[in-house]
Amino acid sequence: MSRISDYRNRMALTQFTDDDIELLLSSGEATDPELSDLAVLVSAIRDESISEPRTADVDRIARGAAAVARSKATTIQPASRLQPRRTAMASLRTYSSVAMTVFLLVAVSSLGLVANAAVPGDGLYVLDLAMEKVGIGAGSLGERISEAHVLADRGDHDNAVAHLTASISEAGETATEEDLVAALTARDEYTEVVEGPGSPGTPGIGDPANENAGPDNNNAGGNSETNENAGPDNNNAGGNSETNENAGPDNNNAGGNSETNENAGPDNNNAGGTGKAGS
Amino acid sequence: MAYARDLTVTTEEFPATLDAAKAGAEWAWAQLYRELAGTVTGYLRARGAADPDDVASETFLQIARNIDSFNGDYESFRSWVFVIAHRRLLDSRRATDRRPKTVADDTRLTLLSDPQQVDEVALGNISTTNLEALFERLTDDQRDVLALRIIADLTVDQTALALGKGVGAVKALQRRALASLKRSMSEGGVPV
Repeated sequence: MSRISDYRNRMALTQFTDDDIELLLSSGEATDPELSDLAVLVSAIRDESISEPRTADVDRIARGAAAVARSKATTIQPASRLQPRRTAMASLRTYSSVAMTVFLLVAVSSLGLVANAAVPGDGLYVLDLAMEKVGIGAGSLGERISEAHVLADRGDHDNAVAHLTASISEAGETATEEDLVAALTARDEYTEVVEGPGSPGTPGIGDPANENAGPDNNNAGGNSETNENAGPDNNNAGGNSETNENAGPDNNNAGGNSETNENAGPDNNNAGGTGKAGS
Repeated sequence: MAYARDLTVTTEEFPATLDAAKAGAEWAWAQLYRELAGTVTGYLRARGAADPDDVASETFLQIARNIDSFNGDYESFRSWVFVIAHRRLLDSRRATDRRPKTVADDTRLTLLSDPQQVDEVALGNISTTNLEALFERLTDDQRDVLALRIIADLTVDQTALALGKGVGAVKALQRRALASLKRSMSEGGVPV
């Protein structure tokens, strides 16, 4: 060990244990000659710093401290009497807060349940839709079908059909096949109620041509020479049209004795009938 | 405590004294003050309180105000007293907006180079002024630790509690403080 590092070690007292330092500080004893000067210094500090208090100071401080302690003891009493009242008020506040929270939770939950059962036209239906947007409540095509059933039960078949038609369009590809079939079936069922059984449809028998642009057209029955629909979700059911032509997806030319059924786009159905050609 | 002093409050007597002090008995407060005032005032003086006696009085009045909240033995009480003393010291410094009492640099520099004063240190006859000058060479934390360990006679744990520091930090501070004092003495020509 070099002289410099030896000097530094001695200066940092690293060669001494915690016990050496402890004995030095607590009792002024040196466990090593190297610590003897510090032991003298520690004892000197202690002897020089600690002095007996003056009797006059002892009396004065004792009187003052005793008076403070007594006044503290007397002022504690009324404070302790107030304690239960403060505790009761604090408890009341706590209970009130809990009760209010429970009430609000119940109120919001009840409102949500009522809103979820609402159908188009009800005041809470807007809330139902809002809740569905943030993930509360189903909001699926299945719920729309249920809502349409409720409307139909109320005798409001027009709106039931409109609701189903709009919902089928909105649901698009997100709807399950089962829901979609159920929705279409329900719509057909309620449409039949609205228009009556055997209704020739629009525009009716004998029209030389039905040409509709836009989605969701219905040319049911009838013996139109030509049914032409552009856009998706058209239905040319029955009828003895010579030509059923639909552009766009999801068209249905069912039955009928059409000579030609021509559909462009996917998911078209030219079923049944005695159509001469279905493409 | 290894450093024996004449105690006016023994460990056995303390519970009765504490109860009496809580009830406001002057004799109990006189006993507690006689026992602790010397070390409290010594600590405050060593730490540069502008008026150590005044801060010591404030400390005991504060103890009287809070005595009902204290429960424990005599060693715990001593430790608690110095927690309050240390806080009152900090309060007094803030209140007076005055720096801790310092000794002029030239005095400090000549302290240990004077052969007579070196002898005083060696013989344990060092004066209060010279001790203050020695302490001036330490950092604030080192002075706090040494004053509480040597003058207040607190243990490492009690010192850590009073200063709000960890035990390891207190041990490191006291070791560095002693090394610094030893270096000062060595530089002043004291044979080591």
